[in-house]
Amino acid sequence: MWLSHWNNVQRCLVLLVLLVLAAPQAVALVAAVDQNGDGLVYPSAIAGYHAPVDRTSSDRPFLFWLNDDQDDLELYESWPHTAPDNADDHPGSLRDLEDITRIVIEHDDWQSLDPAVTQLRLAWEAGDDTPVIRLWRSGIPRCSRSYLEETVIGQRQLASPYRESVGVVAQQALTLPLSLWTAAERERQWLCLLFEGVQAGVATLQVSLLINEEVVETSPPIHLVLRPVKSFYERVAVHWPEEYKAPWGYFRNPPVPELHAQPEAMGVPFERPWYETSDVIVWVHGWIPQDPENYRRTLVFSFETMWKRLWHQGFRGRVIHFRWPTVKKLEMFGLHVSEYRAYKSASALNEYIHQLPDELSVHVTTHSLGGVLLMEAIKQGLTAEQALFQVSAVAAESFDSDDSLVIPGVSESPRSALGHTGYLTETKTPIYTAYNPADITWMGWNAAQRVTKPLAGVTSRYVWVPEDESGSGVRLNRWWLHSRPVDDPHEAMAGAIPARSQALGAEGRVSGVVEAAYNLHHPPFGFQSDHVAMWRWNPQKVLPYSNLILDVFNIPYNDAGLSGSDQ
Amino acid sequence: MMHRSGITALILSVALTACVTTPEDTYSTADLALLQERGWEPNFDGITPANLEAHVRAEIATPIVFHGLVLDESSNPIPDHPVSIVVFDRVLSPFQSPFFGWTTLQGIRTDRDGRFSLTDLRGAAVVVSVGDRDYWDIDEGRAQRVYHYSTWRLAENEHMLPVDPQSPAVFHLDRKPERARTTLVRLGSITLPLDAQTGIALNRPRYPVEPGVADLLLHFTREPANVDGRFSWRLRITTPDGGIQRVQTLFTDQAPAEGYLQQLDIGYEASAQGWNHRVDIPCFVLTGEGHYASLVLRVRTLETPFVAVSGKLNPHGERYLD
Repeated sequence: MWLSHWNNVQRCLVLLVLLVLAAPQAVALVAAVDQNGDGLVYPSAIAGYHAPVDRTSSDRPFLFWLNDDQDDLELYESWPHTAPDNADDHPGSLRDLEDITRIVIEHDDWQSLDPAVTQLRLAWEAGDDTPVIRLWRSGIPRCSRSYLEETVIGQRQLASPYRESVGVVAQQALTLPLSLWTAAERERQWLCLLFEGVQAGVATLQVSLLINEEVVETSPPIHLVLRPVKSFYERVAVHWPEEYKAPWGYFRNPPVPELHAQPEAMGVPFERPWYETSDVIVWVHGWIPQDPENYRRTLVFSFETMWKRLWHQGFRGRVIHFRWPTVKKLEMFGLHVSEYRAYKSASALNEYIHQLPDELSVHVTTHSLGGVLLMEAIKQGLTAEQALFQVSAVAAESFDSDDSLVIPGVSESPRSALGHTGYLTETKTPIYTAYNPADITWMGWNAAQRVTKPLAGVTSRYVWVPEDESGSGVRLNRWWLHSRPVDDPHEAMAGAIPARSQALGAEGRVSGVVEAAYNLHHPPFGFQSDHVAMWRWNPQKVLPYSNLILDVFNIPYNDAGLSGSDQ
Repeated sequence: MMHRSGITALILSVALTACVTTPEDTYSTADLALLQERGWEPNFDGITPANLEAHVRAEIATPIVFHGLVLDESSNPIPDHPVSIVVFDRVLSPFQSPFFGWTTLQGIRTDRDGRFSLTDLRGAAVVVSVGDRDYWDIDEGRAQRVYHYSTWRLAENEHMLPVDPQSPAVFHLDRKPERARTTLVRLGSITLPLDAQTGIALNRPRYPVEPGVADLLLHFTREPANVDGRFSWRLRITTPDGGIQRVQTLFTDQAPAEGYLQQLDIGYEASAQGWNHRVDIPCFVLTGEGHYASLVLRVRTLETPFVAVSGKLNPHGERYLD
């Protein structure tokens, strides 16, 4: 009522004062992590920019993994893990930086605080079991994640003074003097720390501001979950019954085992993260060893690394590793029998994907020899959102029968109804391929096509008998004693009939059922002759490749886009 | 996981056979899609559709000899310098626009005298570039030189064909000046809401900005999909107080001075031939602040439509874009 006696100007002034007094006070101290996975850490909103603030909660915590692998080399990583990265105070290498993440601590005015008497204390507030994290001061301007994107900046983090840990947060709190940061750093609103997971656990982290050892302010808590990396992705495996031999071991048509994919826990079951989207990437590996030690090593070096790189690029769907029964001995034997098993394992992949819930968007990818399996699965009717063949060791002519793909000089190679040409002519699944003509693997692959393919073990050999009207024109001869026709296209393509084209992973001109091919020899990828650069090289050189995978799958991704800053 | 085995197989293959072929670094279907989507076609003056293929086949059969010399700013030879060579040496199969295919030659570097040469090649033309991130070709001020070898195109050459080793093509490299230095634009993916305006600032990754501070304004529309899964979609790109120019490729060191539009419309009708839900847009952008940028806008229009933005920006107001 009393307002009615005032004029409009007076009323506006009073309301303005009331609004200011009623507005929530700005929080002066806020700590944040990249809760939403967008590659950015924003403790508070920025005017005019719609980037969301990173806030954790008990049901939406920040999830990260333990740094218990061993990235202590200039290139690739060590095995076995005799000295895990989280057992010492220093980041082990540029590669190790992908096992480290950021905390940003924001304050309205760091400069107004006397560094001689001001401290920051990091402590677990509550939790089921207390995790342990190790921290470093970040040497990266603006708290960005460019230590993952550019080699020079990553190396800065690996050099003094940033490489020395500032301590751990365990059951004991960690207290850091404000003077840890330079005056120039304190001019900015953000102070930056990096941390790794040392011990698994679930808890909330609080950052407090101390002046003269008295707490004057405490940040809202960061809800944090640390757990083994293998709990972040799912694994299934197809095993080959031992009693089934290679097809050339049979006098009559080889029996075919019934194969199914089974869960593969490896001691750490998959735990669905709260943020999981409806996107699923099924990853079919290439030609790898299968003994337990080497399989585990290969999984860590290759797939697990790719999982981390996709995660850093913002992928928050599920990744499923599909294991199939390759044979690889002495790094060179077993290629053709593996190829045969790839064909026979395709139905298990189809069966597995078919039973996934309909509401999921399933994307499939494969590396190298796994291309045979994925091609066969698509031929058998696999339907996915997209299929990406990565440097795949499968004949390009299977996807595109255009004569221009035939290698000059090999056009007289046997042609058969069971051959590779035009093997896959229709599919509803959009197919993409990432190829690298400079990949040294194609020398070996071509040699296998020309030299070792007709050989079938020690005593047998496949022969081409075009006048043989009993079947496909392909026969398996054992010494001079026995001969049988080959009716199974899988046996024929895996063991008898050489490809007339380059591999799909070597050929950019392929069209047919292929939507698009991407050249990994060119920028921003620049993979040179390396068949496994995408996981063997340090992340600073290959993050654009992870973006290519997501881009092909029409899944949004973080920066370090396809521009290739570090080439 | 064939790397180590690949090396082993390499050794074996050398021992076993000398006839193993190696792949060539050819154009990709993604490269072709980019050109075809833009409708680019080479200029075939006086050629009829009936004899076009024969003409192209004749052009790519032209012998190529090229001698080059790379010098620094003091005219000293630069040894072991990488040289990028693209040869137009193929006919597309199936025969369709842009008709020519190409091969990138691998591993070409200058010798200790700064020289390199190409012989025993056939093709219609070669594209040579010697610059890199820190140096540029000061005689040209651009990324590459094109040499036509086919009889029909000789008149188009800006340079003499360097077929004589005594008269090589000389490339003078000079360190790029500060005004030519660029910053990277790496915004990642920015979601495009339906029927709404999205502001993009070239220094703000992943999320939109208010229109008042945007370098680009995007407006995306999409109609429901038909029974084939196709849908009509359209993206209007507006540049407040600036301009945008869509190009074939970004193989140049300089943004064009003219030819910018304030607005660019792209998209497909569901019934359109060559319909695609993915389009890459190489373009030059002149911002409202007067800065030039070369960008690739990757537009993806399926369930969660987004545009991924990457490229380079010259913050000095110059057109140089290394």
